[in-house]
Parts: sequence; C-alpha cells; structure tokens
Amino acid sequence: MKNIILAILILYGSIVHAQEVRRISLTTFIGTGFDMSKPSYTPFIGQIIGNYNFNERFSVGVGTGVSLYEKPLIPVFADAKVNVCKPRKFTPFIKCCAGYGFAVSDDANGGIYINPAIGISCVVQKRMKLLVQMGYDMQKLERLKRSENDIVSAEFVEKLNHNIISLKIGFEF
Amino acid sequence: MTIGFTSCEKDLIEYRQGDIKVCVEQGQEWLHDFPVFLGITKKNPPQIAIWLEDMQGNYLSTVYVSHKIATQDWQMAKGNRRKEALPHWCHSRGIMYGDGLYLPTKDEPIVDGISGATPRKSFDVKLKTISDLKQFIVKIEVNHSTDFNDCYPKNAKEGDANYSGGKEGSGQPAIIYMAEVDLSKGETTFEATLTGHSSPDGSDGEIHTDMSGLTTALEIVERITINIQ
Repeated sequence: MKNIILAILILYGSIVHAQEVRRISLTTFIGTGFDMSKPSYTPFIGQIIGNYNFNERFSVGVGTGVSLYEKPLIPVFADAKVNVCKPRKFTPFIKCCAGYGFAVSDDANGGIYINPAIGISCVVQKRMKLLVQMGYDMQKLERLKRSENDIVSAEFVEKLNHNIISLKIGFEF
Repeated sequence: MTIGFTSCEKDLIEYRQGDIKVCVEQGQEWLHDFPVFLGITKKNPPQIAIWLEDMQGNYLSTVYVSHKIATQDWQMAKGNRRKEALPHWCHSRGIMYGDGLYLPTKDEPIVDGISGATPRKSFDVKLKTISDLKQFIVKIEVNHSTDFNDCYPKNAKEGDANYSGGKEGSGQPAIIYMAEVDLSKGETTFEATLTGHSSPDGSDGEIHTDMSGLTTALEIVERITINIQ
C-alpha cells in the first residue's frame, strides 16, 4: 500500500512539474565535418528537428533537412536528447539521431544515417538557446559512376560509407 | 523498417541485351585485417583494376580501378606510393608520371568516372563496346596490402626477390585473372582464369606464372565471370 501511495505521489509530482516544461520545441542545425573514410567528402548538413519535451531533461523528436555529400540526401530521422543536468545558463547534453537519408537524384540511393553527439546549450533569450554539438555522423549512400571513351562505356555502383567527425551549431526555439 | 528502406532503393545499373556484365565474386579473403595502431586492425577490401586489352595483349582501356590507387589516397602508407599494389595494370597503361613511376599521382589521378571505393563484397561492372570490338581480353588484377606470409614476409629486404614494399607493402603480390571474350561466337559466359602474379616489388609489369608461395592471396576472389546479357 505504501508503495502505491509513493508511486502516485511521484507521478503526481512529475505531472505538476511537467506542466512547467514547454512541451514542443524546434531545433535547427547547420554543420560540417571531417570525413575519416576513403573516399572522403566534406559534407554540408542542415537540419530541423521538432522535439516533444517529456520533462526538462529528456526529449524525443523527428527531424529532416538536407545533407550534401557526393549526392544530395534528404534525411528523415528520430532524435532523442538528454540534458546532463537541470537547465541552466549553460547546459551540457547528449543526443542521438538515427534514420535514413533519401537520395534525391536518379543515379543514387540513400542509406542509413546515425548521429550520436554531445554538446552544450546556452540560453541567449527567454525562449531561445544556442546549441553547439560535436559528434559522429555515419551516412551510407551509393551512386552510379559512368565513363565512356571511343572503345567502351562502363558503369558501376560505388557504395560509400561516410564516417564523419561533425561539428554543428544551431538554435532551439 | 529495413524492408521499407530497401524498397526505396533503385537498381542503379540497368542491363540491356548485348551488354557485358563483369561479375567479381568475393572470396574468403576479400576483407583483410589491416593494422591501424596498437594492434587494432580494420577489415580492408582489396585494390582492384579491371581493363581491356586487344587479342595481341595491347592495352585498350581501364573500366574500373579502386579509389586508393587511382588517387594515391593511401592510409598509413608513410609516403610509399605503393608501386607494388597493381603493377601489371600500371605498366600495361604505360603512363609514366613525373617521378618515373607508372602510378597515378594525387595531382594527376585517374578519371573520376572509372575509379571508386572498393566494394566490401561481390560487385559487377557493366560494359558496352562502342567500336566494332568483338574480340578482346578482360584483365583483372587484385591485391591486398600487408598480406604477408612465410614466403613474402614483412622483413624482406629491398632487393630480395620476395621484397614487397616493406612494412606497409603488399606482402603477397597482386594476382592477375584474364578472360578472352569473343562476342561473335554467340557464347554468353566467359570465365576468367588465374594467369599469374605480378612483380612483388612492382618494379616491372611482367606476369609470373609460378604461384608457389601464394596462400591467402588466391582466396581474395572466388570467381570472375563475363556474362553477355
């Protein structure tokens, strides 16, 4: 019985507390990185993520954007973010995105996208935070390569697996 | 979810009647442990070149070559240009670069359209002859770096017959497959056969037919076939 009462009190407490948390937030990022793979490519990454904040420490969301590798990709991914401590002026966080990058062009296929990262957020206005994060971006894709001379034409599929140490900067609203 | 994602993937190569499909099937040693540091290794696919020659053995055209040798984008080669990687292909091309080697350089890489990251498993290349070429030879040269064994050891000295570029070198030399293709015969499948191995140190483009001393290098490729669609 004691346990049930305790559980109800905790649940009630968290509901009351959660009412103070802004439920929906929007995050935008731009970034680039250092590719550790061969062949390497320096990407441009632009993302927008809509998050649902369960409490002041934990949120999940979905995101999309554009990733410019050898071929442009439209990533669609799930996102989870944990603030390491209660929100302050500067709040460190851990996050992870996982999803799929869809190829835009006909001569390419997208692939799995994963991005674990750590970062720090800084309150710049009442409802706006500046975010800086560093992480690992893994993006698979494949593209068709063609060549032709006066003797023969050739085609093959090049499978690429980019392993990027990435740096992103963004805002959370 | 995987099925959903896979269904978004298109067949990027479309074969039509008369097209030529070069199928390279991976063998047990397709991926090789390459030392990174402190005993940590990573699985590397081999270096590969595929090219055409006429029936007299004159080089015609490269149709595929792996990225690292094509652009000299070696990892941890410590300045070794790796002339021992695919010497038969290099010498068959016959293009000498500024340093006297037949290897492409970072400044003068192989044309982007024929170079690509080596696949981590079996792959195929689609060919279509433009001229009235009906008879030709398809050659394939394959090699792993640091593929040392007792006959081609890491500590072989420069000048020794089994020297293969030192610690970051090849170990066992590149091996060469070839298939004679005759489009006028009506045959639809030509199997490439193992012809020999290249110079261990890459000093010439000769084919050596004595395969004794080669072990794992012979299992990089399972089978290579040229299929006429």
